[in-house]
Amino acid sequence: MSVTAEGKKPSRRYAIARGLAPHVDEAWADSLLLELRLLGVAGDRIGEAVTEVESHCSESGQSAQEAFGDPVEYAQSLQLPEAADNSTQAILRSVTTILVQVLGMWLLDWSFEAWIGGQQLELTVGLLVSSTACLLAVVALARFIDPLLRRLVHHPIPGVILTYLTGAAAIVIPLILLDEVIWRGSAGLGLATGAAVLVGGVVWAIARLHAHGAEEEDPITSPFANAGTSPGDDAPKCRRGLFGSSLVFTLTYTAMIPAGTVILLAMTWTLHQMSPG
Amino acid sequence: MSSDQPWPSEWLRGVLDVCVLRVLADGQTYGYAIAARLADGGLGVVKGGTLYPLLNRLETAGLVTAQWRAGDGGPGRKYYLLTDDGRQELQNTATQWSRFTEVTGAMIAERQNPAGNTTEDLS
Repeated sequence: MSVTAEGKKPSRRYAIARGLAPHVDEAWADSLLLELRLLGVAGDRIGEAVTEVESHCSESGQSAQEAFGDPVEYAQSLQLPEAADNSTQAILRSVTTILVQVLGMWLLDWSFEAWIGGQQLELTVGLLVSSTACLLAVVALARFIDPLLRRLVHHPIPGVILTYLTGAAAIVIPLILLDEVIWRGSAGLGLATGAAVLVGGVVWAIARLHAHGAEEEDPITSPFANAGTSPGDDAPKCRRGLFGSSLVFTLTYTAMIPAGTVILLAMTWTLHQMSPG
Repeated sequence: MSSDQPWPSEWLRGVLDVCVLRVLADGQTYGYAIAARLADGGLGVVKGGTLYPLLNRLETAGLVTAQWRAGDGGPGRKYYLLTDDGRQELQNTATQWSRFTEVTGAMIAERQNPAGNTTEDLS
C-alpha cells in the first residue's frame, strides 16, 4: 500500500471510495457514497453508482466535480430506490431498542439519586420535565434522523459534544431547579428495574444485530465482485460497512446509552457530593 | 450551433431522453460513448451529472436494460441495451417530436415573418 508524503498510511476513511474509484478524487467519491447511504440506497447499487463515475472519469479524463458537479446533488438526482431494510420504519424499529435503553437510563438515574441520598424514589416536577424533554428528543431523533446523521458524520466530534452537553443541560438543570415532590416509592426497586430495563435494551439491540447483522451492514460492493475481477487493489475492503468498520456501528448501537448512563450517574453523584447536606 | 455553445438546458431536458434512446437503437453501448455520440450529433457536451440520472430513469422505466462488463485493460463499463418497450417508446416519441418541431417551427415563423410564407430560415 502506498504511503503519503507525511509517511502515514492513506486515510482509512476513504478506503471504500479508493477501492471502487481509484481515478476519482477520494473525498468526492466518499461524499457520493455517503449521501447514497444516507438516502437508504442498497450497498450494491451504491457500488454501481460510484463505479460508473469511475468509468466515465477515467475515459473522459474529466474530474468528477467537472463531469458530475456536486456529489450530494448528483446522489440525489440519481433517484435510486431506498432498500427495504433502510426504510424509515426499519430505522424506527432500530430506534425502539435505544428508546428502551434510554428508559432504563432514566429509571437508574432517578433511583440512584434517591438511593445515594438514603431516600425513597421521589417523582419531582423537574423529573417530569426532564422525562418529557428526553421523550421529545427521541421523537425529534426519529423525525430528523437524516439531517442529524449528516451533521454527525461530517462533524463527529463537535456533534457528539454538543449532543451530550445539550442532553445534560436539558436533563440535569430541571432536576436541580424543580424539586417539588408529587409521588414516592422504593429506591432499591427502582434501581433494579432501571438496570434490568437498560440491560434488556442492550441485549435486545445485540440480538437484533445478530439476527439482522448481515442485512443491516449491507456492504458496498463492486459490480465486478461476482465476476472475479476487481476495479482496484483495495476492492476487498469494499465489503466493509459505510463507517469503515462495523465495530463503530455496533458500539454506537449498543454502548452509547450505557456510556451515557455512566456519565449521568457520575454527574448525579458529583452533584450529590457537592450539595450541602 | 457548435458543440461548445450548448443549447438552453430546458430544451435539452425535453429532448435528451429520445436522443439517448435513438443512440441505443444502433446497438448497446456505455455512458461515455453515448455522451460522445450526443456531442458528435450537435447537442453539445452532455455532462455525466445529466446523462447517468437519465439512464437510470430509463432503466427503472424498463426502457433499457444494463449489464456490467469488466474492462480489458481499461475501466469496467456498464452497457445499456434498448428493450422492446424502449424501442416502442422511441418510435412514439420520435413521431411526436417531429410533429412538435413542425408546429413550433411554423408558429415561430409566423411570429417572425407576418407574411408566413416560409419556415426554412429557422433550421
